[in-house]
Amino acid sequence: MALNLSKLKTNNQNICMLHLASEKLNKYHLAYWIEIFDKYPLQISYLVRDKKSFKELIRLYPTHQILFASTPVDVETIVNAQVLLKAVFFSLNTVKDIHLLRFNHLKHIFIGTKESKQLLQYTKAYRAYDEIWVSGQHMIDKYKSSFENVGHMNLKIIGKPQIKEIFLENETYENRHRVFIYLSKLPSILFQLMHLLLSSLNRYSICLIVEQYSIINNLKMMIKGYSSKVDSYPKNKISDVLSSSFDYFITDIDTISIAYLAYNKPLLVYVDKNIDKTTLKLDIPNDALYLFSNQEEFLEIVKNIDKDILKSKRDYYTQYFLGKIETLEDRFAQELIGL
Amino acid sequence: MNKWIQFKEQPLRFLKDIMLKPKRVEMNYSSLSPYTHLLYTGENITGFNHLNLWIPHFIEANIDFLVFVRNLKLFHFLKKEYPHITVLFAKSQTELDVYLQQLPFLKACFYPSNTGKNLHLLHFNHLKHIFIGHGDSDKTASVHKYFRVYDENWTAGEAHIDRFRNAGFNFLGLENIRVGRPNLKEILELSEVAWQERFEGKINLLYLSTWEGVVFEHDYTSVSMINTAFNNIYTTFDEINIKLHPWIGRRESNLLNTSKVLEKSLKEKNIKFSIASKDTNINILIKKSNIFICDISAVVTDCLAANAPIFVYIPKNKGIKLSKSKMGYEDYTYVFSTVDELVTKIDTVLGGNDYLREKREEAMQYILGKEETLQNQFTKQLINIKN
Repeated sequence: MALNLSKLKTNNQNICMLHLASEKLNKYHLAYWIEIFDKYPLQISYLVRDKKSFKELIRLYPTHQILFASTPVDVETIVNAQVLLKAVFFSLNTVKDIHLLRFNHLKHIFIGTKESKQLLQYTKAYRAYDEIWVSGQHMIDKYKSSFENVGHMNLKIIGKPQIKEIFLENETYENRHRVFIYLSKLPSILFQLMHLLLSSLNRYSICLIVEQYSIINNLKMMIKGYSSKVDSYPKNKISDVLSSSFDYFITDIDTISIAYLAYNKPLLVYVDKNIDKTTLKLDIPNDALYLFSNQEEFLEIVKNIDKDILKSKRDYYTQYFLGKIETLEDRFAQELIGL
Repeated sequence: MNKWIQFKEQPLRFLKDIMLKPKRVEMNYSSLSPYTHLLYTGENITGFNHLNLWIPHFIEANIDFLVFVRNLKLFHFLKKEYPHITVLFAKSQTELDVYLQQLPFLKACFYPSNTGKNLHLLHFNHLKHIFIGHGDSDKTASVHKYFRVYDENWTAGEAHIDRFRNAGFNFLGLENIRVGRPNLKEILELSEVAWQERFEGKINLLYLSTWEGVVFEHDYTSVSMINTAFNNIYTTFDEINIKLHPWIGRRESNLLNTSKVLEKSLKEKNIKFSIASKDTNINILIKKSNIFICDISAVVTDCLAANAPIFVYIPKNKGIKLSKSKMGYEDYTYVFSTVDELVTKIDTVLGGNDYLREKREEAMQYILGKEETLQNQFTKQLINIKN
């Protein structure tokens, strides 16, 4: 397939273009950004470098300006066809970025993706961009500690516009008597916890995420009598589940995620008794987490959960990792307008 | 690509890959450990010319270096041309990573060109990444934002640094270091003799063309007018040597027979001439010439080392985008856009008025880094990294 400009508007007023050059993940990267860009009254094009995902994306987003370029010459044609173009956004650092980085008149901005934690490598290669828009200060610290000379790199905190609604919905605390549980394995303590929550504490309903959904029937058998208070979901439904509210989260060392910070709720983390808690390094630092290894420790935490003594620490990390202030201030939009 | 899919979709390529792929036994990791310098290219076979420019100087510096390539054909070609140096090949980034883990003393990687695959090596933050280029050109490709991924940019002279200063973007993290053009040292030494006095007073012309470019806007070649030009000027020269760009005719098929047309025409004129093959080292041709006609490309600066008049074709109405330095082509070369202009300027210069001589000598320092070249600055910098 050669150059495809069929979706480019005649006399387009495109100011920005998002470069999608992943071999497999373009669909997810575009889904992560397209709704955000759609919120603002600016024209943007999406340049796809892989023909298979191009075909899929023009089907999924038929009204958007999704373009395909295979070669560097195709890329040049596409740039020249957008006379007002000022900036190119990059969701991933790829070998094909060089085809655009040779245009000195454009501003090159790396904005990452939802999976940035896994995909970002904090290498010198990122110095090619003019600006890197990051969610929080932790990414700036990562760049600065990864190599000595960050040079001209302009690192800007823009927060995470994709989770603004979550921040707003969870600003105030409201007791829901509902707990979120997501454990990667099924340790015996899970049954003890569920039993405690459902019987002794007797005021909670449970939303349970399980990796092996096939075991759900066995689980229900074991908590017979309370099954109406337990909703269980497979792992791939986690984002749907999180749209409802919880009093707190119970996870383990493999399932704890920075994303949970946005919900402004206590985070309880089960740590196997054979693991030394003091040497544990999790995505969220330990001082913002309620760690427990047995039933007694769990009960002690739950007893005082309303006091939530780690809230201030959690707030600090919410800002540090997710840029809550910048998200709520719409810093992303401000930067877009500034282009 | 999955092997099964490749077998179905590209059976010939599949078989070729199997035939050419280096055997595991060649990958003796333990023998890799002493290397401190790595010369890298992500280019295909065309990368040979880039590497060939530098390998002799890495050898001369007597350092532990290896060459790393990403193209099988180039890998085998290099092994044949340089059997005594270590050459490695990796198809994927994963393979490259495995090799790099076996190089505990590696300090720096050197890049002769900007290719997408440079990214795979740039992930190693503990290494120094140095761009060394493969010539000095005023084309905009010689200065763009991608250069900022490197820690250092080793330039010939001050001109390339000025191009960055005038490019309009911040390059704060990139350190520019002047090292001269070691491959031109021999020519620079020969140029101490005035051009008119070389070759027992004979005037030998060298014509170096570029190709017609990917698109019309990038067509800077003079090939369509050069035969007419030769008809007007051939009597002025004792010898005419020609090297055409190997890609001539790629876009404009009517240019494919350029070599034959020129050969036929020059034969009829009964003048001593040669048309060099694409593999001929350009420096050999420069050494035996004392007048040059060139198109816009890095060869102009190669010819500059000979300190003899250079006539550069600048096509009219093309809006050529050149990166800006303190000296443009018009400052140190005799630029022309038509045959008449070329003929007039050649007559003037060969008539004894080489009015750009002083500027040309200034350009030799400014663009080529003549002093740094003669002082072996490149070798000294390589050794500095080792220490």
